[in-house]
Amino acid sequence: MFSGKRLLFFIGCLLMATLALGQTRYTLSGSVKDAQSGEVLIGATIRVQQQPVIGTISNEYGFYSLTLPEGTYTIQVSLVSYQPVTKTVTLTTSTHLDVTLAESATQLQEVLVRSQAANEHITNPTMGVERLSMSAIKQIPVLLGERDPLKVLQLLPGIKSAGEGNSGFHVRGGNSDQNLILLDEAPVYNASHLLGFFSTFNADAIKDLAIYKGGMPAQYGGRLSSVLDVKMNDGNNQTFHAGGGIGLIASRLYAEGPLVKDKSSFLITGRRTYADAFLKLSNDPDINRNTLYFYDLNAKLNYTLSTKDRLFVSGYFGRDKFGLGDLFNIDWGNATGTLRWNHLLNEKLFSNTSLIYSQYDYQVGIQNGSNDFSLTSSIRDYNLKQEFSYFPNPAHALRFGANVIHHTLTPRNRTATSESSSINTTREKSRYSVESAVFVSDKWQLSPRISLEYGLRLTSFAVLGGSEYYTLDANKTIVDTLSYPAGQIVTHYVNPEPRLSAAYVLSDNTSIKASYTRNVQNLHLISNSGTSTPNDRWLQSSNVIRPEIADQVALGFFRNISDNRYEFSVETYYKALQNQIDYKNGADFQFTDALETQLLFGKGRAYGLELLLRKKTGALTGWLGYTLSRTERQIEGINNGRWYPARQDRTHDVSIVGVYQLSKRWTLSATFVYNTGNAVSFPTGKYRIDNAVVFNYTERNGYRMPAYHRLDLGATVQFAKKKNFESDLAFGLYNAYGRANPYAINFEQDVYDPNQTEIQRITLFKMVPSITYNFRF
Amino acid sequence: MLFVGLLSSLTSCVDVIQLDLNRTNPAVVIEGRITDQDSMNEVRITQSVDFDHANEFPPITNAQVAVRDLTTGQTDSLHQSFPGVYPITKLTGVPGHRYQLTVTIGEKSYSALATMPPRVELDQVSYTTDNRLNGTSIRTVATYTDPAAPGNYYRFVNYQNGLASRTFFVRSDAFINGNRVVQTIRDDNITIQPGDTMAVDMQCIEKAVFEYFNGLAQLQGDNINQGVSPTNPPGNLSGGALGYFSAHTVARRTVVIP
Repeated sequence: MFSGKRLLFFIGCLLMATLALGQTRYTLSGSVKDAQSGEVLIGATIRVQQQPVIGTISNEYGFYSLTLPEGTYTIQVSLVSYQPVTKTVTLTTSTHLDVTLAESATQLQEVLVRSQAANEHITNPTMGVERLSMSAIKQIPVLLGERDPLKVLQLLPGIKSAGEGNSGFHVRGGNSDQNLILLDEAPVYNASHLLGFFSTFNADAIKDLAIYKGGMPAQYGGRLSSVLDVKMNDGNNQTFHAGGGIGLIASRLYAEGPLVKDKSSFLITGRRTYADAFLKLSNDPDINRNTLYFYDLNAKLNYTLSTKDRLFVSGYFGRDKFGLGDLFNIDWGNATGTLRWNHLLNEKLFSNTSLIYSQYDYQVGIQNGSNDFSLTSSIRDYNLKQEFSYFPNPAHALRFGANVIHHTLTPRNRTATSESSSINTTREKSRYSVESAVFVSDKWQLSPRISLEYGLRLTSFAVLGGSEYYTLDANKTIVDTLSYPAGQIVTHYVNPEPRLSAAYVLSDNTSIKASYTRNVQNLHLISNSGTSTPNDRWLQSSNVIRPEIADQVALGFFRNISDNRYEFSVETYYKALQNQIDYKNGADFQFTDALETQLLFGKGRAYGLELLLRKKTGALTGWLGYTLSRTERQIEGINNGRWYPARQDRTHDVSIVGVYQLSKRWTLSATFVYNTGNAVSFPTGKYRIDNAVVFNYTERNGYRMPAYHRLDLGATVQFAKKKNFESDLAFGLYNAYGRANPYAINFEQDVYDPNQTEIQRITLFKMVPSITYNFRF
Repeated sequence: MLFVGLLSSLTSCVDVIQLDLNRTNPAVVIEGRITDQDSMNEVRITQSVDFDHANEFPPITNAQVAVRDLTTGQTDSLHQSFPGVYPITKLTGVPGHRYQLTVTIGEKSYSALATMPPRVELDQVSYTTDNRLNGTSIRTVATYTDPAAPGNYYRFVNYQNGLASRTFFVRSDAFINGNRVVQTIRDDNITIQPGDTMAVDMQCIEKAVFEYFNGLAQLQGDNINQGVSPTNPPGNLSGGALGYFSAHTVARRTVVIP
């Protein structure tokens, strides 16, 4: 077992090694910002012309630091869709240099091709990472015109949609709960609205989005498959702006501006759907009495306290409401809050302290006259994170820190809501745990050709008392109920998570990369459905549920073609998973509070090949992605212990995305997806019980849904700018050729001929048009 | 799944398709029940068929079937009355007694054990109207008092003008223990009309039988392959047969829908 002491020793050695270098040198540091809005820019490349090997990237807060010998240097700062800036600096002492970049107009895109950042793809050792800019997201057509970053992500190789129109996703064979979704560092436990048709991310509020499919740096942890790191806009600190959009099912509004120019800014965005407005149009009281809507609010304040200190407060609040007359209602939502303090300890050492709150809860109300009751359930986190970025010399970029999260998981509390209700009011005790981690990582330019990113994360998960835990026998029956006093440690899991990725640059435009990553997950989503539903329940690791562990190795080949105009990559991966969860045969979630009794545990494996050819510049941009993959589980009690395909296993997955700038005003776009159907369980026969026909399911996930394919089209017209008022109109057509992709397949006794059975296909969306008007001033 | 229903009512469609489903060897299906009533006590033995066949399930006519009351030691060796139907004539169920079913077909034998739970009376059957998205439905309502001790399980069967509905509807006392319970019986396989005579059977069943029928009830739901993978519920029969053996009490009441 890896001890904490040994880790500290390791960190110490690492620091000593890097500190020993880099004396007699000076540091150039500062922030990279957008010229118009004052927003800090993430991921800008800072290069030194005199020393082509040396370079750095601005971090999540726009901060960069480069340590160089005394001398005069030409510094180039570049970022996709910004005009690169060149500055000459004479370093005779450590120097602070803020750089502002201006957004490039369309005709300037040719310049970008030649910018240094263009071969970042080749040289960065981190593998399996994808960054999406919001401008790309805004061009891609989506269901009902609601721009949705999560749906654009699903068009990348290795990332698969959880279902028709669904914002849930599977990364490299992982379950949808194995994605760590962060909004300004706060975990979002249920990133979907309206049963997954929309995500909680309002495009207006979002600055940057990065997803790690593997090789995640050591500062991230807690989920097996991926990290989706979403950063909110900081708000324009130069001038006031407002904007919004009016769409078929939702409208959006935002406002941003300086509180004190250059010093502080605010951003507030809101969105609400009005799907229920259509229901109100119906004359049928059974329909018009229903409610169905959601809203999102994002807000952020940011203060520059001094040249060394910045403070951010950001929050998200979203809620879905659904009601079926006065019979049934459910509302659910996330709330997150982040308080962050960026502090520059010195020009080489950057500190970020965050206090994070995150909550997800749902309430269900059922009124059926006799058994009225409500159910409430929640998960709540308090999270403290301290992280340092240290730039000892140009060859190293270190990150280290620690993180403590206190989780409170409140299971379903049932309350009788009428005098006559026969339901007993029950209070299940909340379960508590403390998840903590220390981490260190170093990005090391070993030689002009070799770069490494290596690190270690040590996680501890302490299950705390205060509620009941169960001892189960082999048949999953509770044989003993264990009660622990509050604060006592029930079980404790400690896991080291090594992370390593390396790049070897073969030539200016070719590299190979390899990575190994271990991830551990202690919160598990127990879903009673394949898609995300609001009443899915999170469970923590316990004496029965062991931490899920994934080891992933990946190997990649990267090549840029014709002067970096095209990026091509091949990545292969193999993942071995431990303590995976599936349901026992005939599992029941309706009458069972102790969910542990319904679960089976086993192992998993996932492997695949991902191809991506991308064109980033020119009038036509887009990509072509292909994934060949397999995802399997082996769990005692399912299919006689044989390996079986996981539900999300899809052999082939193709996506084509194209955006074409037709003229200054018109942009056209199209996406096409094709994938093998999910693995499903279909009956192999039927029999009779009493007087009903019952279907005989002999094998789990032994069949396939029919192949899925779909073409979406989009067009955006930009109206002439009047004073400061800009606007555009976006048209979309989802499933343009009306492919009947099955959402579900049901097996039924024939209504007209009870002596026969039939197979019914439910199709949700065929040729759904949309129109959205967006404006900004 | 109600959300999907609401959303899909705006854009979705349903059609009938053909799928190439595997063929399997016919499986033996045993339905055994012994009740505290004079009728309905029988063992039925049939076989499963492939999905694309008609719903005609071949009876097994050459079975050796016996039910034994383990509490009294009395055995009833059953004789076939109709093809595949083996009535229990010498035994009537008594709450608290344990019963053993043995079935031998050729070389293979199957067995199961069942204990009859205490009897709970059905106080009243009435009806209610239930507003759903797709209109108003008349539902039957059963009223009973759950005993103070936990661990009671119930199965309800609707009879519309004497014909049994094929809906499986079971309840556990997990959330209602010890209460006077007014239970609406959701049954989407029948449409109750004014003038109908509705009878409701309330059976007090064992936990294993509850789990079996609860599993069957989930298989009857819509959009099942969108949810948890459908699986055969575990029955209480040993030897690899499908089906169940239940010892249960039956209480019946009737209501005429005005």
